[in-house]
Amino acid sequence: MSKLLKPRNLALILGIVALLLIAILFVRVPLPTILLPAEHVPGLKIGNFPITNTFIATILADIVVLVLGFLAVRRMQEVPESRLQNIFEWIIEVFDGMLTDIGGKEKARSWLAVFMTILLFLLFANWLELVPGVDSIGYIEPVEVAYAKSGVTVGYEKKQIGPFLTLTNKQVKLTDEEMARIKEEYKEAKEKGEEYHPHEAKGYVLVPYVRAAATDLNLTIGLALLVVLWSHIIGFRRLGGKYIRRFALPHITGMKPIDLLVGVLEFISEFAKVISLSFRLFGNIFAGQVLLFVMAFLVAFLLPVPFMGLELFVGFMQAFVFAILTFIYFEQATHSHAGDEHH
Amino acid sequence: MAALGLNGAFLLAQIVNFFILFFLLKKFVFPPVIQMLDERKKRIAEGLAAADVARREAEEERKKLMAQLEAERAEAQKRVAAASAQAEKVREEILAQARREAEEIKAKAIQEAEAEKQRILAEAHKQIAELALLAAERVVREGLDETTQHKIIEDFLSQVSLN
Repeated sequence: MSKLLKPRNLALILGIVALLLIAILFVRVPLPTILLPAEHVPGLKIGNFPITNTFIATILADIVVLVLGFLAVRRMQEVPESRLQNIFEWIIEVFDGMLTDIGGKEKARSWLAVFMTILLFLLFANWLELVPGVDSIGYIEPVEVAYAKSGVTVGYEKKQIGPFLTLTNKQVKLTDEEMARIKEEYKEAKEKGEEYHPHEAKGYVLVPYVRAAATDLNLTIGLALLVVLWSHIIGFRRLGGKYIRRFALPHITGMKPIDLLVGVLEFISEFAKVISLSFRLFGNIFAGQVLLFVMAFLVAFLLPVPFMGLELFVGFMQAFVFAILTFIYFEQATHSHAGDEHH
Repeated sequence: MAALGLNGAFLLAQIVNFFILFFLLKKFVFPPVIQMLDERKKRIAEGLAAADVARREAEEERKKLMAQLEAERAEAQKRVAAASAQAEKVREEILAQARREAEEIKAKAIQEAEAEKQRILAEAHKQIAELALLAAERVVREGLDETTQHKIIEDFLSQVSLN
């Protein structure tokens, strides 16, 4: 107790309380619009192809991974002087060892690159959600447009602060009549082939330029489909017809009807793999994002900090789980004892 | 599907993106790292093995040297012991010799002295006898009174002592 009351600690506690109070009383941030689909970044197109904010995050994660990777191997030294090389070597050594424990040296070396690419890419893609400005810097759009496009009914008033345009925490809700009107106007504009512009904007929503890549199902499902398909290709190339047999009529019990059923279940489980891989990643990162939104909405300062720490961990864990499951699927696909996977 | 934001083009874009990243990393980033790790592992193993061999060799060398040293020490000790025994023997011999010679010299000297003594005594006897004869001769020749006798004997005796 006496330790707690030392002047320094007391000042610290008072400071924290004051910050929390200031945050609660004066700094109220709006709750960002939570949308499942990734938003198109306005004005950014490749040809006729719009770019989503999650795709920008994907590209950013690519760049971070590539820059770090190339810097790490730029001047490899037997006795490393570059800390980056050291860290990179350490990471690869640790995971190489882990994969060797699971699948043996040959398989570990064959698929280390896939494993590490998934791990590093998802790691930085997930951690991007913690970078200030991600999810909070973007394009301010009338709520009417957002409603027409994706059914958002709550907007905020906007306010000019210096050179920046920002949303206040004053909520604006669309009424039922307005919604009906917007729907009609949107339909008309669509029929004419024009873009929809509301006559007057009641409120605004923020469309962030960058949004964590794994909050987009296109990434997670795409990646999951890719690795499961890849595991089939590897399995077929290594085992040939024996691999097909695993799904058709495996020798497990020797009783044909049961074996046939096992084959069918095996087949279904391949789809379950895609679903579980993709939705696990998506769900965790999306929920993490919403958690950070809500915490910042409740108290703008300090409260989100522990949750950011949590997200740091979750971001790594999800990247790791995705990567290690990929490796395990590859390993299972090349296991020569058909039907022996279910230990 | 639209509610989930699923879109074939975006999905494909993500897959392509992943492949590009995978290709770049697999081609340029991972191989040097893995090669470096393997090389270093090999070198460390070699270094350790070499150190092991060197240590074993050094140990053997040390043992050999120790054994040699021990043998030399024993040899030296043996030699010292032999030498001191020899010296003792020589000393004894010399002492005995010296004693014997001294004894001989002494015996010879005593013998010589005795002989000299005998010789001198014999000489003295002879001379005394001659002198006595000489004196008796003179006394007889002159027919002497007592005083003259005395005088002659005294002369004689003084002559003798003068001799």
